[in-house]
Amino acid sequence: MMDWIALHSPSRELLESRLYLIPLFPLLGFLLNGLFGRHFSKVFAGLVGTLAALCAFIVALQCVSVVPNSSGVRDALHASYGTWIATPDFICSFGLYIDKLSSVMILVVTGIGTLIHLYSMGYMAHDNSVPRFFAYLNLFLFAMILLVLGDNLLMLFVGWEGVGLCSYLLIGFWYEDSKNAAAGMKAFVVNRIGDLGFLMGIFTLIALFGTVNYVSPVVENKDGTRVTPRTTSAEKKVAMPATPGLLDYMDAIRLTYGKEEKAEAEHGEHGEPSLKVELPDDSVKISDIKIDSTKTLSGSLAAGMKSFNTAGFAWLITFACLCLFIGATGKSAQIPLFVWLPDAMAGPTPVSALIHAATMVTAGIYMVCRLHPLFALSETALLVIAGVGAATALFSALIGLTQLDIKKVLAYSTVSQLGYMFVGLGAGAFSLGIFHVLTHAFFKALLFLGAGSVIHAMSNEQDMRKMGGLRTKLPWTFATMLIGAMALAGVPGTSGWFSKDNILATVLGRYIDTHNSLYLLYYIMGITGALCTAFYTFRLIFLTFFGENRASEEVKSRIHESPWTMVLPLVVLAFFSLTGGFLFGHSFVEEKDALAALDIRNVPFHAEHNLHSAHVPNLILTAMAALLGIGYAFMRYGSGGNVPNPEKSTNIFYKASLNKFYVDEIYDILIVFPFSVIAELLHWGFDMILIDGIVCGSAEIVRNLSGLFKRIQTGLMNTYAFAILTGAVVFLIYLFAGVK
Amino acid sequence: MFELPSILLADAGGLMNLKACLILAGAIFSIGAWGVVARRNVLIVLVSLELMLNAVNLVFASFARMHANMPHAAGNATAGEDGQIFALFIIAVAAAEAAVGLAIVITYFRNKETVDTRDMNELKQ
Repeated sequence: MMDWIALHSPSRELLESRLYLIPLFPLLGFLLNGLFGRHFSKVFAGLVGTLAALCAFIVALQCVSVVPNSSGVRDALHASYGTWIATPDFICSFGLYIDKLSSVMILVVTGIGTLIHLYSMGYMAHDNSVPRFFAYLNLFLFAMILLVLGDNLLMLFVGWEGVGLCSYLLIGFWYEDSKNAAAGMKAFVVNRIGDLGFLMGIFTLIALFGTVNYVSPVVENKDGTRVTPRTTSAEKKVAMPATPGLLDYMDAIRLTYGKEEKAEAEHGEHGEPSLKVELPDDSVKISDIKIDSTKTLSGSLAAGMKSFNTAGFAWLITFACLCLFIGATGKSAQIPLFVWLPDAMAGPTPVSALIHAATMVTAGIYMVCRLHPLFALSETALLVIAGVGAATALFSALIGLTQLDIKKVLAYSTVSQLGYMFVGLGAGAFSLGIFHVLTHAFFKALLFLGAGSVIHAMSNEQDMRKMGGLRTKLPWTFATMLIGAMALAGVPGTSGWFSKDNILATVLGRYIDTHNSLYLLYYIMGITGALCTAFYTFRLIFLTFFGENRASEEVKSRIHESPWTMVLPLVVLAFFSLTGGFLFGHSFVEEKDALAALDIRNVPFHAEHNLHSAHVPNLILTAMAALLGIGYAFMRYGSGGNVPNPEKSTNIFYKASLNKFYVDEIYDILIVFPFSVIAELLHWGFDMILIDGIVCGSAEIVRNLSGLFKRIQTGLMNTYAFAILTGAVVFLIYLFAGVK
Repeated sequence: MFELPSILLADAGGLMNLKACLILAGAIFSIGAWGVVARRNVLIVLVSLELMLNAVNLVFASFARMHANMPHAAGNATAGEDGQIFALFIIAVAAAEAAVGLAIVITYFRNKETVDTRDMNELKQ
């Protein structure tokens, strides 16, 4: 199918001129539903939203089909719409950019987005504010597309904030219940903390490189030919474009110092690094501002390069990476900022599937992958990322073991899977991280939508203790969810197994490569997490679909299979969950060229070296973990009689896990309480007394002064006449006195 | 222009007459000013305004006369005309002012049933 599209697709210039359509459609859908939604019927509002998503998907598919097929160095679609910010020291372009990395993301966002829009038409059919829902969903798609397609970090940040806003709006969609509104607020506030780190990372990058563009903006020469950025010649020299982007700088640094590192490793001596970067001589005109590229850009590069050998520059790179990663922990729900994601389940289930499982929460992974040459420069940052990822993967899997709410189980599972993605990134397997984003988007969206279908059938009941035996009543939901659960549990052959297994194999390979015992620790944590994952996933399946139905008679009588709008997305997603590994796996895990497949160029180290030796033991271990977990779940819950009963349990560990290891309570004591005390103190001591004193005091002074003067205004014309007369007399006296 | 009775043109009393006229005008003006400032009845205030205007007219006329009788103005038929024309202007303006002022007072009285200036302070707030 892709070949057919490629064969019949227009030229890349035409496609580049069409790139803006991808964000435009959801924006139009948002405006239509947002401005005129109250006049729309529910079905029409849903159709507008779904069609907007579908159109974006079709355009994206057409554009993406060109990206992997074109040969040559510059194989990305890049449409520049001018310069956003241009000062002599800092450039930020304004454009859309699709390379292989963003093509994966854009297809996930628009494709799964379309399916979930379709599903929402069925799921939200009984709601009263359907147009508002679809307006928010389309706005989310628009922001997410900006995040993925923007050609610089600032546009990514704009999209980042935009999806955060939509997440807030949609978590609190049923705002009549103050608990939902509070959950939305929590998500927003926790994300703010991460965003601060993210912003500091961006500022550090600006200070270091003077740009936030990924690559050079498209510049047309006078004769109409394009400047080709990132031309890497055979002698490993980089012909820097006139206005290099971050990735161009990374190329230069890697090509100059990557060799150096090797030389150092071989000879064990520090040599003065030779700068092999060619810079253009003439100044380049961007917009109307003339920028002397030889002075500013090469200057900052050379300055950065010069200090690269010193600890300062490397330290700054690590600092920037860690700051950016703090932003990623916020958006992608990692320790310590993961607490908002489980609460975010207060939103409608399609929202949980789209935003809080498939797309938005993977923005952090996308961002790290987008800047992977930067992260690859800092071993420390990668170790931290892998560590946080592994800890999150295990920790939230442990919490997931005991949750009773069907959506909470899936929420903690999402946090856990995001952790695996970060483990992959931290191990240097950036393409595998994105692969897991892709497969996870399929099976987790599927599981959430299936859970939504169950909740829909059970008259909004989410407690698994009151479910059971739905296998016969919801056959489609059961079959598709079973596939999703298998993929999540990592049953060999399913899509989830392909990506997770490869990530864990890479970690093991890294351990064999570097003998850094941290990687072994991460690997053990990952395998344990996988065991837990398999258990809680099938615990969910057995509790929901097997045994006797434990609902009340009234609910029981209304159980029904969902309409086709909800079943169709389930089936499509189930298909990809099952076969995604075979369909797409080769682009991500191809032995030789694994990283190049995503346009993710090589990093200073090579994880593939020991992949073979790591693969077989890892395969055995992951398969065992999956089967053991499923088997234990079957033993405990397969019969259907063994419903969890938290009141009866005396197991301390069980209680701790059920209460999420009291993380929220600990945060309340350690962070929220001191903050509110400080805030209260500042409120009384600083705000009320000092600030209000100054403000109200100055107002009081003016008021008193005016009270003095306002008596002059009596309102009696006699007084005014007297004043005029007196004035005239005084003036005359002055005049005659002057004459004298 | 026209001839005045000779007794008024008596040369010996010329300046004396001017002085008397100015004193008279000053007195009338002061009475008018007092009326404007001190009286509460709008009608009286308007009348007092007329008094002030006419006092000024008197001053204009007196000085016009003085100028016409100056030795260096002998034979100049138009000497002192300026002051007289000013006085005529003031009479016209005063007539207009009286008409408008009275109209306002009448309208105000119809609405508020009062002509006391102490009640006319609604613009204060």
